[in-house]
Amino acid sequence: MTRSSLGFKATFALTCLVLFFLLAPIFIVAPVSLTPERYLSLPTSEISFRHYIAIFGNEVWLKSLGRSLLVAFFSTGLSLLIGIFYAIACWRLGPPWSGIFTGLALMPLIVPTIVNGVAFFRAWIALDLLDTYPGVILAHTITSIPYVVIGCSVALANMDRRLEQASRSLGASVWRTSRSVIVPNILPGIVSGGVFAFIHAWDEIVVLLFISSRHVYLLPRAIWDGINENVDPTIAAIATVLVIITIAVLLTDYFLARRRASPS
Amino acid sequence: MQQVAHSLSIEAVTKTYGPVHAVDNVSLSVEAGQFLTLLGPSGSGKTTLLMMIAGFVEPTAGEILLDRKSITGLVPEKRNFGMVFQGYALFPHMSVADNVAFPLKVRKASKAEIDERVKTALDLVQLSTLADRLPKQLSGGQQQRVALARALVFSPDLLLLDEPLSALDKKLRAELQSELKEIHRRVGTTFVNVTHDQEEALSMSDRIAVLRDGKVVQYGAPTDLYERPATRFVADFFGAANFLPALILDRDESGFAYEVAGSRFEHRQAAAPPAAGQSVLLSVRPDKVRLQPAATEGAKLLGTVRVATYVGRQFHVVVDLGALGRFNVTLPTALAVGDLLEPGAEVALTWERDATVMVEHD
Repeated sequence: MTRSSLGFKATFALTCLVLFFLLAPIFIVAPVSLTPERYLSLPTSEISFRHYIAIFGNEVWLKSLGRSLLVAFFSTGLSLLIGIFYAIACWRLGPPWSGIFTGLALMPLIVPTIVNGVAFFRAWIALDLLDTYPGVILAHTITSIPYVVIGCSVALANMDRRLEQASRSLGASVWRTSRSVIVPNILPGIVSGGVFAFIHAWDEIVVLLFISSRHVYLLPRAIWDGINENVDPTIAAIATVLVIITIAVLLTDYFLARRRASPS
Repeated sequence: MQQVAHSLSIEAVTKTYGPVHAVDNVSLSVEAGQFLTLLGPSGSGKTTLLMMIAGFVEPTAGEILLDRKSITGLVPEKRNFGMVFQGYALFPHMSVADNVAFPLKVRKASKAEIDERVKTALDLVQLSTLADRLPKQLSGGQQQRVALARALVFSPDLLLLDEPLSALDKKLRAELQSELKEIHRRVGTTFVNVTHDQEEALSMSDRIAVLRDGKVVQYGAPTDLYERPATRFVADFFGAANFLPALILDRDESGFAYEVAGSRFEHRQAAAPPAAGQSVLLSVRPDKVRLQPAATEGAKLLGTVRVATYVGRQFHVVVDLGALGRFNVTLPTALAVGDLLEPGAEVALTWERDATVMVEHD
């Protein structure tokens, strides 16, 4: 297919269309956040950062932003710890068990989020974890483990199994081999899994609505309440901040991967 | 780096995967300091056997002993065996020096000892100048040497090699064959090598075990296996042998006479020649067969030249013997006579009475 052919042009146009569809919310939200008006509107005469200044002048936004980062940080750490061990253990089991266990680990992704929400709500009542930081961190950890498991499993599948055998033949225990040989060699997978785990914990709302209320007041919830109470462009500004942080995390992952890929 | 060598015994070892016998009741012993090669085609069980010696595969039955002590249940990291893997399996995130230092760090050696031993090991494989490189910055032959240094640096009781030269090109392979042999002589450790390449096996080993379908078909020194193959499979595996169904005519103390396609030949064999009237299978190497013009007086086995291929030092000639099938003959280029090599030329085949080897059907 040459660049001038009709097929190429049609494919190119269709790809752009899908991309536009995917990115449309950002194209609407970002401009709206820059309006000088007090109501939701596209900026016509001038661009204003007043709604961003409003975020930083508002304790509710700032504190919920900080809390969200903290919760996402801890749940990402926990899910990395559990997910990496789980993925390596599955890999070591070999077929057919590794496929079965890796598949089962993806269950939290398959179960509808609303079902997860109800389940956590019921369980957290019994465990007295409702509206507590450990409760929210734990719930986010459980639902983001699959991202880590996927990242690690893909990297492990591409790793030469003989690296593990070489390490053990040289006298390294299973534990030492995992730490010194396997983990460094699946680092790109770990980073990608961690990035998705972080993004998930960062913007998850459904489960959050069930298991937290006033005490653990995170950014997604603050946005939710903000929309319900009064819709003003600050919501668009905070949503844009959310998107920018997510994009920043993804770009970091991308550039780290590129640096590793290039010969040093 | 001279080290104490250890002996290895494999006693009635079997490995089954479901109904498949990957290794079937194999017994072998390697004397301390020897270079053993497990030779066989793919699927012969040679790699499974090596993996059982290394401890990565557990035998279904049988025992593996090091210096008469069983190591059958021992995990790989406790065996203290060096191993060179197919594709080398160097740690890509570590420099050459760190790769070689790894087994010493795991054993908690002192910094000074690690530095000294890594240097000695890299000197042994002539790579001291590349210590700071990453594996991916090295050529295949260099990576192979790093793998060897890493597997020898901790004075292992045994060195296992899994098709160590298979990824290299032909010239480099020949170079590393002699280098491996030299290193074996210098360190004195017992080596167990796995390969499917009969030339590699012949050139490096003290002992060769030929495996087929999980069983050892023949075990012996390289010259034994090449000069006196026990079975048709072994004869064929060590170079394109020719086979002759022969009828024994008579025998005396030095050998017997046999008939092939109506012609009488003689065979020298000191021990237990078969009785007259028996049918046997004889093997004759392509380089032991000579070509004569069909018109030569007393010419016996007649055939037609199909194709003659010049390969430098020699000619490979295929001769059609009719009912006996095709015969492979190699002639030194210096001795090749032009007329006899033309496709369609009528030729007669002949060989000395000690050129033939009696082999079993298998």
